[in-house]
Amino acid sequence: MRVAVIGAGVIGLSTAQSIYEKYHSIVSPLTIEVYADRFTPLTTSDGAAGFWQPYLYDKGNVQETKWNKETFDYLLSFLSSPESVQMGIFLQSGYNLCSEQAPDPSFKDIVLGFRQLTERELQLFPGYTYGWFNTALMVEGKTYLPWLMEWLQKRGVKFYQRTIKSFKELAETGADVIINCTGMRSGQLQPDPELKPGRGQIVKVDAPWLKHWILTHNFSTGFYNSPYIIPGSRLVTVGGICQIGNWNEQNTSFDHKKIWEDACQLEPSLKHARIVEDWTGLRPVRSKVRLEREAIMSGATTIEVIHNYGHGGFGLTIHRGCAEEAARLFGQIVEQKGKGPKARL
Amino acid sequence: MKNVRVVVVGAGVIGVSTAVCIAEALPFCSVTLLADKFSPDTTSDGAAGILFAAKFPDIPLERQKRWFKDTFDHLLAIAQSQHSPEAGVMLSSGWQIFKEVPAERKPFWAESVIGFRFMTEEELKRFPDHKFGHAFTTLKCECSSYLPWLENRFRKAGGHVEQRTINSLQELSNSYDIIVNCSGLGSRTLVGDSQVYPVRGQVLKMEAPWLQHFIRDGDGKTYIYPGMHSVTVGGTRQEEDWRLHVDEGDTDSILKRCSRLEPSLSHGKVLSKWVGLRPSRRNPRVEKELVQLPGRRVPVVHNYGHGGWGVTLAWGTALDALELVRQCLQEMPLQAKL
Repeated sequence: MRVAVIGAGVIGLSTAQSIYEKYHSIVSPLTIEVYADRFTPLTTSDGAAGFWQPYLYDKGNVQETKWNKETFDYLLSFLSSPESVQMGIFLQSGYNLCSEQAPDPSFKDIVLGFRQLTERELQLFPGYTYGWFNTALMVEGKTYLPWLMEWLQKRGVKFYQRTIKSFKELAETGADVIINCTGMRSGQLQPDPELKPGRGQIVKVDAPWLKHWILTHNFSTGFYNSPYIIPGSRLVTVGGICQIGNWNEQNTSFDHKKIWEDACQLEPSLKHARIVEDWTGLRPVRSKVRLEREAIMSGATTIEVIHNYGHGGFGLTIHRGCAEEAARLFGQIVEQKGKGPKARL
Repeated sequence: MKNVRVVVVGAGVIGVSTAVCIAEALPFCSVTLLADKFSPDTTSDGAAGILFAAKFPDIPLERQKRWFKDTFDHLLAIAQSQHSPEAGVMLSSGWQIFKEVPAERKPFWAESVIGFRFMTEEELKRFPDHKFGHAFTTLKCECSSYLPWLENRFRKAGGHVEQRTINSLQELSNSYDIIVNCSGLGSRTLVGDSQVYPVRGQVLKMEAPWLQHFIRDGDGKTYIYPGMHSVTVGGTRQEEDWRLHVDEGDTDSILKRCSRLEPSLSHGKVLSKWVGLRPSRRNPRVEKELVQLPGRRVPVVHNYGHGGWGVTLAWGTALDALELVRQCLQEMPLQAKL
């Protein structure tokens, strides 16, 4: 079988990985190809801070909470392995701050050592009256994506730098299944009014004395529209913007100023941090992740597509759970086509 | 009142902290910080500087709690301010783990650190050799930055700094009215205290920037302390060992023990190795005495023997030393004040 994955961000690469892991010994031959116009370090996943944390509440999307947990547990299992550094995985603790009391977040039982903030801790953050402390994971895209690509390349997965204009285009070249991991630009392959950009601008700074992430939450301005400071392995990501509907991939000095002023108020020591660069990315925001099969009619043939896009600001957080689910959907197709172990000739 | 001349001997974290406390609180005193070694050549400079206490057997617990709390609160204010990077003070979260459950599950300083709690089962899974642990947020005070920053504060408060090696208090008795002795291990010879002895500690500085938490084994011999520019891993506790040179056997042992706690360290790069002699004593000596020197009796305030807890107790004991200096001033004969 030939599988064509469109998209080489964390979703595309991890889905290719899951499909390989589950089916390379069942389906023979299994050819996996990844098509994308942008590869690491130029994808959305690369610019993200790489902090594992879902939105505070899943609004009933319990599937997503399950996928988030699978991803956390999966990454955690690599922590003690020699590969953790090459994967860009490490633990980091920090603070989620609110200006009012709020229900416990969806991830409270997934992360490590989750607890309420003490009075003394709240005193460290004037203006915030409630919040939580926990230990979570970092998975840095700029390291994780190259690791995934090498993992896939070693196993014969091929990469093609190309902009795919339609599913039909790939089907015509002989792809049996197409995995659509095109994130923000899925709309170009198939219009989706639910998919919108959540523009984020961040400032990367050198502030190695910071060892905790600090996320603030403002329930009236919406997710990621409140300052956050996330130290990484080399630089600290400072942000706090999520502009729904804004397609501008350029940095603006207006946003830079707002982000910087808010962050310095939250963490006065940032005043002395060396600013390295700004970056802008478009979060592929959707009411919920689109993870489903679609059989697209094209003349007499049926094109089997598995959609896996719309992960908003939690792509790295949810990637493994979604990849495994996509692989499961792939398995259904394998069964249907009679290519599985129960293949009848 | 005549300008009272105070000399603080020793410019490690204890000496500099004590000198600052005195200079800032007693403007009518002329304070001199006198030492043979200054940062970056003091014992304090090599220490990781993580705030962590131990219980001394003969000092009232309330006083020890106060020492820790005073130092913690003083440094926390710096960590929260814009001075944090320049002063070398930062918040640090992590775990202290134990192979056997300790008799005292909750240490006396639990309320002074931030967010103290016991580790969960999940958290302990990462440490298969260990059964129990503490999780909390404390401070890290890097003396190679902190001492110069504090010395600056000392000069701003009118203090003088003098580099000199002295072998006995006699050499100072004519020039100063009060002597404050913060000479650490040097007190063995300077004031003839044979109760202070070295406990040798070797550490490595490693590049492993993905590490964000401290990990310390409750026995105090194995620890990983991520800092601003490197990770300090250690260590050793060799009593009565005066060797200041690096022991490669210790290097191997440290790497082995620390990698067991944190496997990713095998990808770290060793940047440097350092040895320090902890100025250890059964209890730190924070007290005053009148010393008979040729010609007169000079009040001496001692503040030394903090072992591996110098950074942890510096500000708290400095405040106590300041109080003792105040007492000396009150007790000084009236004539000296004219």
